[in-house]
Amino acid sequence: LWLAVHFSDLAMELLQRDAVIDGPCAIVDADRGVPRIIAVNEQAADSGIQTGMTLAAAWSLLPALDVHERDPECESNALYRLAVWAGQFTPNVSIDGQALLLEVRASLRLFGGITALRDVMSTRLSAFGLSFHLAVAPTPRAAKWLAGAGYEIFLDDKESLSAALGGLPLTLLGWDEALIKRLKGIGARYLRDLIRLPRDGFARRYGANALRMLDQAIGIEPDIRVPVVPPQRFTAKRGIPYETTNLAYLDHPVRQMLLELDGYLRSTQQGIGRLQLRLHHREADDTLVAVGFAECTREHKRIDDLVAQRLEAVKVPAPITGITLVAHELAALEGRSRTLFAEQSNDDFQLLIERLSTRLGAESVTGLRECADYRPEQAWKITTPGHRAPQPRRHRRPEWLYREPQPLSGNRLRNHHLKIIRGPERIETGWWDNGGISRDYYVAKESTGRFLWIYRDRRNKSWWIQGVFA
Amino acid sequence: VDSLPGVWRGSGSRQVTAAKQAIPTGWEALDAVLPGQGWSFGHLTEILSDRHGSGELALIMPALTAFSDRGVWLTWIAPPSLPNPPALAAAGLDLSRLLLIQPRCKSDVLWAAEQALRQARQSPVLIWMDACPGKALRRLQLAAAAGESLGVIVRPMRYAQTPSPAALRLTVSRQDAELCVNILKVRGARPIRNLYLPDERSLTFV
Repeated sequence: LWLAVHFSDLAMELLQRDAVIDGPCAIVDADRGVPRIIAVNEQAADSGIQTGMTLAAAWSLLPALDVHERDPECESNALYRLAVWAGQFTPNVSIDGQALLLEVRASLRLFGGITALRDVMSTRLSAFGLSFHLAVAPTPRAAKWLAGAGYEIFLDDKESLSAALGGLPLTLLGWDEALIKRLKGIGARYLRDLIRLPRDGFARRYGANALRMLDQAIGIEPDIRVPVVPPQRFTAKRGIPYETTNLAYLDHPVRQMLLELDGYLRSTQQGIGRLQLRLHHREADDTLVAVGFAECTREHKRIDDLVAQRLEAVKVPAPITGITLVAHELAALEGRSRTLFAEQSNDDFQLLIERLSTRLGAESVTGLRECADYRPEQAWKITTPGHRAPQPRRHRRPEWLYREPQPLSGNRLRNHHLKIIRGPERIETGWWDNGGISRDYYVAKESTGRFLWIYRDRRNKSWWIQGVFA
Repeated sequence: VDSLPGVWRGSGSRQVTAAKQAIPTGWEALDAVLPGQGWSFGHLTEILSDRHGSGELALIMPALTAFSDRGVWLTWIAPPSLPNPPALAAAGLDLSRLLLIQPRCKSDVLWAAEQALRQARQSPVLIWMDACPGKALRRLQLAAAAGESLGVIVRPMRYAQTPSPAALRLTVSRQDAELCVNILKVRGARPIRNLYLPDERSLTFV
């Protein structure tokens, strides 16, 4: 069973995506002799420009027409990327003209039937902002013809196939114009008129190729398609037509690139650990934006959120002319079950930690650990959150520690603002790493009722506050 | 009405609030007067104290320890100084489940607090702050409700007179070996003055 997606206005939509167009505009194809219009935008259509016109005719009608030459490379590149993206629905995706052909028989169970698959596919596909038609038929060529003609039909048995195809006008098959003219000459307008013709004569007069296509469409002749192979690495690129420093304009292209990435990750069953966005400028070095994930992930929403957040904080030195997304640290994701509640809540926390560190910076989002050292300054270390360290046991220590010990004037002690209630505990150590200390520690009670942790430096007889008990 | 979440009914709500929605404070006298017999999830609790070290951490420490025993993450946002790992470990906290967030500016504190409250399902989020507009506090209250988290805001005593949307507001100070707690406002019960809680840990000094 084949599903065909035909992109009906690909050339114009790609042009509008990558360039600033604000007047009547048309795309011409000069490859077949006389340059002819193959696509027009809305304003040009309003002025009477139609596809199929010669360029000369169009210019005489509207001298202000903005004409672009067709860019076959750009179109086939876009189709290839879409084919890779469509690999999430089935591994068997091929390209034929302006259409993608997907063999979906094996995927029906996964998606819950052809209607469900069609719905999922068209919802996800519509995010790219391209116009398309979907059709399903038992043979790839029939599906392609139906979608290309804009007939969104679902056929799954060969019996009804010739009946459905019969109604297709010949002009919509994308055949050579000379051939269609000759067929018109014998009174054939629809496909059914051809199916009725004697086969030998048809092949002799109109070419064996035309007959073979006909046979392939109705399923008499095999039709073998070569699936597209996804690339080893993933990069995506977009031009930013309105050169701008306003990062809000990046939202849309970035979202589309992430959708492409999503399709790529799904079809190759991989997760991503890190990605990089390069913002290109005309006269400055690229601005690099790196986004890292706590663990290899394929969750689209999570990736989307983090990238959006990261972009919010970016400052650009010059207008942005383009953007490239490069995926790093791709790795196969095993299917994991996430049923245990405890695990899930830990996952939630990993998500929270990622989100916080993306905006605040990793140095602001940390964990703490103990170290086996008697010197209070050396008894702790900042770590990554969740780090597990062995715990040494020891004396009662204050719950709050000053980053730097604060000087304590001897007056406060003498005037009984502070009363020493415990001590001394002598700590004299660290000579081996030049951080040597020699101190007598006391617990002192303030008149307000707080308990302070103070010490007297034995080398210069000064008093210091190092912490507060909770 | 009783079955609706988020609906409280005057003083009768003490029975309505199930034990599941609160965690015992670890102080018997305090549990006895709080609806739900403990710190309740999905709400903001505001602890006002003069200077840090006046008992605010000691007050919630037993609950934090209980959380820690169950492997729950503890989130501390913008603490006034460095929590000392050996002491916290000695008090029974699992350091590997401690998330310490030290944002550089005030707006980031609020942002981080909101994110944490929303995401930290049924776990405690401690936030130290100074002045805070009522609107921001209401946002945090909503975030705590959405995440069913236990939001604890520690602020200086001078905000005792400023209105706040927190469901529970109390002041704490240290008097010898006891913590003195004044409940300024509590949803579903009456305010109480001068509740003395014996702090056994400080007894080791006296």
